[in-house]
Amino acid sequence: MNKSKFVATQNKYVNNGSKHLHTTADNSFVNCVIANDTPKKIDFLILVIETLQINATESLLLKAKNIGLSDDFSTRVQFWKMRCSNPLRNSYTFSSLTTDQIDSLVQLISSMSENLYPLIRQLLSTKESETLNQERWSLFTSRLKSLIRERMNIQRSYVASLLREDNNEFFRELLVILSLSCGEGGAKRLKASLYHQA
Amino acid sequence: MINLTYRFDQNSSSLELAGMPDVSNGDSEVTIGIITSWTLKIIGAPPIEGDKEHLDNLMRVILQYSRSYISGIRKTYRSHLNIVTISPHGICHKLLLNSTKEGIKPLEIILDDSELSDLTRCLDLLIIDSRFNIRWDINKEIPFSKKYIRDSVSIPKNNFNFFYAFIIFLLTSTLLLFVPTNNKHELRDTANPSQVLSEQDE
Repeated sequence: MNKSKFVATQNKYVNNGSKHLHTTADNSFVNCVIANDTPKKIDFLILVIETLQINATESLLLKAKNIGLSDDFSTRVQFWKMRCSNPLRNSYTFSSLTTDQIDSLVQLISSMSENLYPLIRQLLSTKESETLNQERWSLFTSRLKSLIRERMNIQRSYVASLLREDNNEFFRELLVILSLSCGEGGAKRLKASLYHQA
Repeated sequence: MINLTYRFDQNSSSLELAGMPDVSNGDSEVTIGIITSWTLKIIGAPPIEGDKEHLDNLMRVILQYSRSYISGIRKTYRSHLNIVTISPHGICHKLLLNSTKEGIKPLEIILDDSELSDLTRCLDLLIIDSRFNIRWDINKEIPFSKKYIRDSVSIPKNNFNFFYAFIIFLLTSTLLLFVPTNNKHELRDTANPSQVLSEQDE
């Protein structure tokens, strides 16, 4: 008997239980420390999500509620406080992120990037019309730069260089990170990139 | 005998696996426990086929490369016996596949970032799929050491502003050292001001 089951699978961001999954994922992080640039990286990734989606903060909070994240995502203020651990922000609070907060933010970013994957993919693709691609990039960078001007400390030389540069290398890196962070496997990958072995 | 086929589609990539339940392992009739064949189709490239070992090699190399790439590292990864190799190619990525059969030329596929992420997502979906009861020979996603990242990043992304500021400070200080000063004149002017005051009072 031949039984064919063609399925176009979409990841539901839920571990649907392959028996040979690494269930001891957290053991990989036993002797690891949070990387220095983690708050910066996470904040910029959320900034890119905000660039790609209008009114993204509401969507982020709603998504956090849907996937059952902690009280840190109950209000905009709590969420903003977490993001203020980025030292490049105007309103830097000299705080640091806890591992639980990082886990939650990784889940949230991964889940949001899955929703925004078609847009991210369009920006990263080199196989589409060059003119169209340039227009998309121009729109994307101008919006992202305006958000950076609004939120970040533009006196910092790093922020100034981001606003000045035309090659958009850093912005492309952020999009690549988002594209490789989709789904459960992507979340694990992103989490691993936010830590260092001690 | 039940033959099952499952497919994972992600825009430019499509991975199709055929197999059958491993009854001795207690698999249900919808679970693949033994892979008989697989086919990977990437738009613009001929279909790739192989057995379980080839798929393991492909998965290990692609997932390792993606793991490195997300940390900003771009370096070449090779599988056992160089069956699968992936390396940076400008802003794209070159996937080189060597056939284990004699007389077949290696297949070279250039992937851009979007195609690499499509392929990675296909493999991610396969790994977590509960319809497969197969032990994949792949590495865990673990953090890298600082030293490894420092050594592997090809182009140092240093911000040279501090270095330039330091050089300018040194140059300015050196120039100021050569400016002549009249120390004696300053000493005479400031010597014993109380005596001058007392003379004025008289």
